[in-house]
Amino acid sequence: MSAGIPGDLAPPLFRHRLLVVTGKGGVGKTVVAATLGVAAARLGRRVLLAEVEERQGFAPLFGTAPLGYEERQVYPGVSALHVVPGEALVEYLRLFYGLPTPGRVLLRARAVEFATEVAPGLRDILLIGKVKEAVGRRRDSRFEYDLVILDAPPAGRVVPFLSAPRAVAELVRGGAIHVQADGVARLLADGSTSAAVVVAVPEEMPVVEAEEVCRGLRERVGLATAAVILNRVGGVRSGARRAAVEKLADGGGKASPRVLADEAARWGWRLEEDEARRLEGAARIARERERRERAYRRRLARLGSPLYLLPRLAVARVGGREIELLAEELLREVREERRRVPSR
Amino acid sequence: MNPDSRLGRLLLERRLVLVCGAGGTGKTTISASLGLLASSLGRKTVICTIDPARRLGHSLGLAHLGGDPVLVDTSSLGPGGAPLHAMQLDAKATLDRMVLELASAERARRILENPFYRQISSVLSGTQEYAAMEELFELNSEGKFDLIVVDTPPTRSALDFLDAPRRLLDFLEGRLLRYLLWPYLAAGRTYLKVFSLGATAFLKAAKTITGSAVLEDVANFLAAFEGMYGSFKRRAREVYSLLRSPEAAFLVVASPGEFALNEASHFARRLLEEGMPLEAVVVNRVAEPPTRTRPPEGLAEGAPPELVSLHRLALFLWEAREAQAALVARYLEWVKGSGIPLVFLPDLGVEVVELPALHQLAVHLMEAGG
Repeated sequence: MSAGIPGDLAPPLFRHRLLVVTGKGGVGKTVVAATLGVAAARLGRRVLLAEVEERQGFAPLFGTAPLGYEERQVYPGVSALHVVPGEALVEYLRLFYGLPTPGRVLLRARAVEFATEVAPGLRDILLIGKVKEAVGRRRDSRFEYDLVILDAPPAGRVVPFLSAPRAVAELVRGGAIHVQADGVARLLADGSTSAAVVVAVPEEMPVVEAEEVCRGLRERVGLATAAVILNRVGGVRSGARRAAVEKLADGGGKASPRVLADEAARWGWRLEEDEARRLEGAARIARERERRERAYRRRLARLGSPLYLLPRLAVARVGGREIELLAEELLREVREERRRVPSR
Repeated sequence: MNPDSRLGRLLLERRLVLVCGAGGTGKTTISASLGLLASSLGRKTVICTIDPARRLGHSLGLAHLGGDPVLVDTSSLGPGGAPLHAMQLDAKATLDRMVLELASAERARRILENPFYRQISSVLSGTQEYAAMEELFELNSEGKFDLIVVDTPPTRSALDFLDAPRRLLDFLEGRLLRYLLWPYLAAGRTYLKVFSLGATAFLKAAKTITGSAVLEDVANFLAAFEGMYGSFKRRAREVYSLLRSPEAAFLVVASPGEFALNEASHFARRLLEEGMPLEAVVVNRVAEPPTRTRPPEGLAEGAPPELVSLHRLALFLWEAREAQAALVARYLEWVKGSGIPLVFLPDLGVEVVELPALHQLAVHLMEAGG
């Protein structure tokens, strides 16, 4: 292995050129995508985060103004891009046909409306096509980005979204779009370049959808899953989280609320008896949660891809500080994984 | 349980309950639990979901949901109540059925075989929502159920559910499309030479992008579809007026995160603007700290580890609730002054999958909703 090329030394996950992040709605896909980006940047990779859902999910995470169609640095080593179909089409037309002249704005708008709303699956291809362009773009004889991370549609829609190129390549029997669709389909099916990162949280349905989407992506898109990330693990802040929850499993809940309140008072915590009772209830839930979490971890591990855990945070709004914290946690997980499973 | 509560009355009196909100907020679970409660209160109920991941099927212990309502086995809840059905919407099957119903046999065949139709009926955004509306309409007119609970589709944005059918119809009916495509529609009538320069340039662009075969497919589809717009439009109008009628009720569900709260706020406002009967905004899975005041930052040196764990848990829940409350205030403060109940459901820590737990959740919802 030659030294000096960060890609070769990076853990396998970060050696891909395109990571597609998906999972059930609400599991924290965007946060995980941003976390992957910051983690990769820490390893010296030049990263592009791309979002296609018109949600502006990245901007608040990095505390920047809403993203436009132009790539912008949001963190050292991390740029971000908000892909919208109309812009993608206009760029496509300009690049390949020199098509719209400024005087034909209305016509251009109609063509865009037509192409993105009607031509089947075209919208999806334009979005993924833009991502493909970023993956292949070169600057000074090397790739402009080492890694492009796509914050993809949720598990329920990602398979149709990513299989649109294949469908269109079959439906459209010629022309530029056929070539484009075919190219995108090939990129996604190239295991050395592209992989999925599937996100779940320790609950039944997100885990079921993670299982389903791994299979769907493999069978219908040809996209392998490079990692499964179980997000929001444990109810306690990062760091001592696992130890803390384990201890809860042995200790809490045995004492009567009175005894617990007295004990708390001795160590400087004034706790009323009813509060102590509710606290024990919360601890029971935490234990139950931990028990289920272990079961979900076993199920997700059976998918055959490395499983990484990210902690549940007490904040309702994740910002740059939390992303950095999660990125450190993710890198720790990835390094532990490397010790457990020696890389090829 | 308190069927006299505002939300309880809703389950007893309305014919349609639509549960809306961003993905991952617990919409499906809440829909299932409301349906379950309604059936246990004696109303013949069907729960209708559109979910490709078949979450409702899991919730209700069904392996598969087909296009038709399936009877749910509620024996785990004990005897009593009216039958509960569940169904998964199959957008393509619904649209096919509509075409067969509205068009002559020959025309229906041409539509169903058209490659463009085959694509839009399963792929084009808006068809799922349109099919959901259609299914809703059919279920309602058949009159086999006292109550229909609809878990709305997992759209990019909750508003799509309201807008997509109209957009799809406008589009299919659109003069723009016909104008642009008319050389194809009029093929054989040698009108091509009088084409406006603009349309020619457009067609050139569109053809370059899509290949000409697609344009022909679309034109053939539109020709075959001729005469059906009226029926489609009428149907859409009927569904809209049904949704605005006092027979319907909307529930907007959010989880206490920024995105879901923002979506819920937009959607709730929009429903009110459209004159739709919004009956409650539900914030689901809210952290419930056990203490009335903020726990101290730390315990004295040497505290036993179990107590340290409990303290950390209490502090975590306190901070989580504070953060959530700030977000709820930011996005949903206006709901409080609107007379629409803002209902909080606690994070139960465990998932609600089994029927008794689903039933319990609905009871909880009724109580919290006042």
